[in-house]
Amino acid sequence: MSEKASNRQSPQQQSPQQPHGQGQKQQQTKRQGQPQQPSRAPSNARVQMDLPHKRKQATKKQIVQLKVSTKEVALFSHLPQFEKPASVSLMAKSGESIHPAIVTVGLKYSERIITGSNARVMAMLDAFIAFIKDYKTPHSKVLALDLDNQLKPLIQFIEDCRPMSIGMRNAVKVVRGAIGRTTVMPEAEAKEHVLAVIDEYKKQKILDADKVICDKVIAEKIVNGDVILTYGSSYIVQRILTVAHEKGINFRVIIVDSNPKFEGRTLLERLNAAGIDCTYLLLTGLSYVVKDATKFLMGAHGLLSNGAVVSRAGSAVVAMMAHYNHIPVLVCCETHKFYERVQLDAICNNELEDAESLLRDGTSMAGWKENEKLRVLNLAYDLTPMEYVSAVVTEVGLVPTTSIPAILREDDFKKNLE
Amino acid sequence: MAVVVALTELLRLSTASTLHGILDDIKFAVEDITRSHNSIEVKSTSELFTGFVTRKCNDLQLETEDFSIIKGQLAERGNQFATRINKSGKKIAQIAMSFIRDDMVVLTHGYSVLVNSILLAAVEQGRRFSVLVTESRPAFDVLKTAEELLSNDIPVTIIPDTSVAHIMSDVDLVLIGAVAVVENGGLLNSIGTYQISLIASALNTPVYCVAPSFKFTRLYPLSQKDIPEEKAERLVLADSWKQYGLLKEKYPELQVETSPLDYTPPNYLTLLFTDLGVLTPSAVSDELIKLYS
Repeated sequence: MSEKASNRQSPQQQSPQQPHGQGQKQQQTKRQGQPQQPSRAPSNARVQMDLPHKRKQATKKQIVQLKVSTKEVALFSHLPQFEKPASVSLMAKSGESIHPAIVTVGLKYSERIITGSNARVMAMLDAFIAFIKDYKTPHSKVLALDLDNQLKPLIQFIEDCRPMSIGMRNAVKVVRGAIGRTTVMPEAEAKEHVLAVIDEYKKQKILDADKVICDKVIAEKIVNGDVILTYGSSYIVQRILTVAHEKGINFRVIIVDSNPKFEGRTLLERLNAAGIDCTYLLLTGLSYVVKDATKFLMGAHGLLSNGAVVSRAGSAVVAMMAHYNHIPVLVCCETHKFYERVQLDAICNNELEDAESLLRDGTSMAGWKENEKLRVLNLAYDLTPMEYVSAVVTEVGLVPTTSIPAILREDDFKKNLE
Repeated sequence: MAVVVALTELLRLSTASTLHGILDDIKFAVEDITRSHNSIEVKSTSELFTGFVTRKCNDLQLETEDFSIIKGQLAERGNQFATRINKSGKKIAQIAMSFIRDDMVVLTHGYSVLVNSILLAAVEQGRRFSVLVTESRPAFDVLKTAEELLSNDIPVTIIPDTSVAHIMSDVDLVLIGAVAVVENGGLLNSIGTYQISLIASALNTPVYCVAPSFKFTRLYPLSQKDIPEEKAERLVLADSWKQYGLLKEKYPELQVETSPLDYTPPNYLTLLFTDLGVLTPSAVSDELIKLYS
C-alpha cells in the first residue's frame, strides 16, 4: 500500500528553467495576465522514509545535515526520525546561502523556542517578508520565477529544522501563488503585491479570525457557572478564557496536562495571572474530573477534509472522554488551518519529537541508548475522529465537522488568488 | 409566512432613501415583531428574507438616481421570496410522498401542516397506509392532526406519548415537522420529538423530517439546555394539566413544568425533506454556508 502512495506522491523536481533572450520574451507574451503555476513544492508531507530510494532522495534534498536516529521505531519508520540537531550543526551545505531572517526563525523552530501553530505561521511569514524586502531580481531574470526558485531552499531549510505545520504549508502555497501572479509586473510593483498579499493573509486569516472566533465563542457558548476543560496550551483557548473573564462571566477552568512538554503549565500561569479559578491535573487523572466539566475547549494544529482534528498528542483522549460523558467538544480553529488531505489515523502522518525528553528524569534509564531491546517513541500529534467533536468554531461561524470541505470550497482568499 | 408578507409591504411603503435605511427599517420591524411574538421561526425567516432580498445588490441598478426604482426591485424580490415559500409546500409534498408506500405504518408527532400535506398527497396518489398519531401532550395537538387525516379517509390510531417505544417495532417510518432546523442539521420541534427519534434510531426505523429552507437557522445548540427560551411560559397548563392546579394550591412548592421545544441531534435523523430536495442532516450546514457566504 505504501508503494502506491509513494508512486502518486513522488516529489517532482521539474522547475521550468526559462531560456534567456528570445525564448523568454515569447514566454512572457504568451503568459500575459495569466498566473503562473508554481513548480511542485518539496512535498515532505509524504516522504516514505522506509523505502530506500525515497530516503536517498529526501536526504539529498536536505539543506541541513541531520544525523539519522539510530534508534528507530519500526512502526514509524516511514516518518523522518533524526537526532535533534545541535545549533552549530545548522550549517547549510556549501553553495546555499540562507537569508539570516530564515536562519533565525529555523533555529527557533528547532530549539522549540517558537511553538504553537499560529506563532509558527506568523514567524515564518515575517521571515519571508524580510527576505522579500531584501530581494533584488538578478539581471535578465524574471522575478516571478527567480523569487520562487530562491524561496525553495528556504522552505526546505525550514522543513529540515522542524517539519512544517499544516498552517505553514497553506501559507507557503498562498505566498508562492502570489509570486506566480507577478509575471507581468515590474519589480517594485511585484514585490509590493507579494508583501501586500502576505500582510492581508496575516491580518485576515490569523489576527482578525482569532478575534472573531473569540467573540463568537464568548457571546454564544460560555455562560455563568461553566466548568471548562482544556488540554495543553492553545493560544486561541487562552485568549477566549481571558476575554470571557474580563467580560465578567463566572466560570472555572480545568487544565489537563501531560509529559514531556507540560505545556499546560504555561496556560496555568497565564490564566492564574488573569485571576481565573483553575484546576490543574495530569492526563492520568482525567476520569475523576471529567464529569464535572460542562464543555471541552480545544485548539487544533489542523483540520482535515474528513472532519478529523489533528492536535497535540493526548487531546484525542480528552475529547473521547468528554464525548463519552456527553460533554460538548468545541474545536477552535481558524480556516487557514484547514487542510485538503484526509487522514484516518495518527500513524501515517505525524511528527516524531526528541526521544530523549521522555526519559529525562529517570537516572535508571541512563544507559537506554545502548540497550538493543529498548525503543522510545515521542509523538507530537494525534487525531481526534469527527464523531467526538460537537462543533468547530471558525471565523465563518459554528460548523459541524461534516462541513469542512464546503468551507474549503468557499474559501474567499484562495478564490481571489485564482 | 405572515412575517414575509408584512416585510414585503414594509419594503413597498418604506420612506428610506438609501439601502442602509431600508435595512435599518427591516431590522426595527423584526425587533418589533420578536418583542411581541418571540419565536425562532420569525427570526430565521426574517434573516433569510433580508439576505435574499439584498443579496446580489450589485445586480440592482445602484447607479440610478431614483431610489424608488430600487425599492420597487427590492419589493419585487420580497414577493418572489413569498411565492417561493408558498410553492415550497407543494414541492416538498411531491418529493416526499414517494417515500410512503402501500401497507406502511407512519408515526407522526404534533401538528404539522407539511406532514399532513405529504400524507394527503400520498393518498391522492392512491396509496393505502395507516397513521399512528401521538397525543403530543401537553400541547395536545392530536385532535387537529387526527381530524385532518380522518376527513381524508386515512386510518388513524391515537396513542399516548408513553407508548411510543412499545409500538415502535410495528412502525415503518417516522414523519415529523420542524419548528427550526439548526446548523448541524439537528431539529428543534415540539417536546417529545427527541424521545421518538431516540427510540426510532435504537430500533433502526427511519426518521424523516419535513422542513422548508426558510426554517434553517444559524443556531448551534450543544445540548438540550442550549435552546433559546421561547417567550411562551415554561409552564404549559393544557386542559388536562389543570388538575395539577389544585395540588399546587395545596403544596405551593410543587414544580410542574415543561419546555415547549426539544433538540434532536442530527445523528438521530435519517433524511430531511426540503424544497431544496432531499438532504442528509450534514448537507444543511453546506447549504447555510452557501447562503451566508
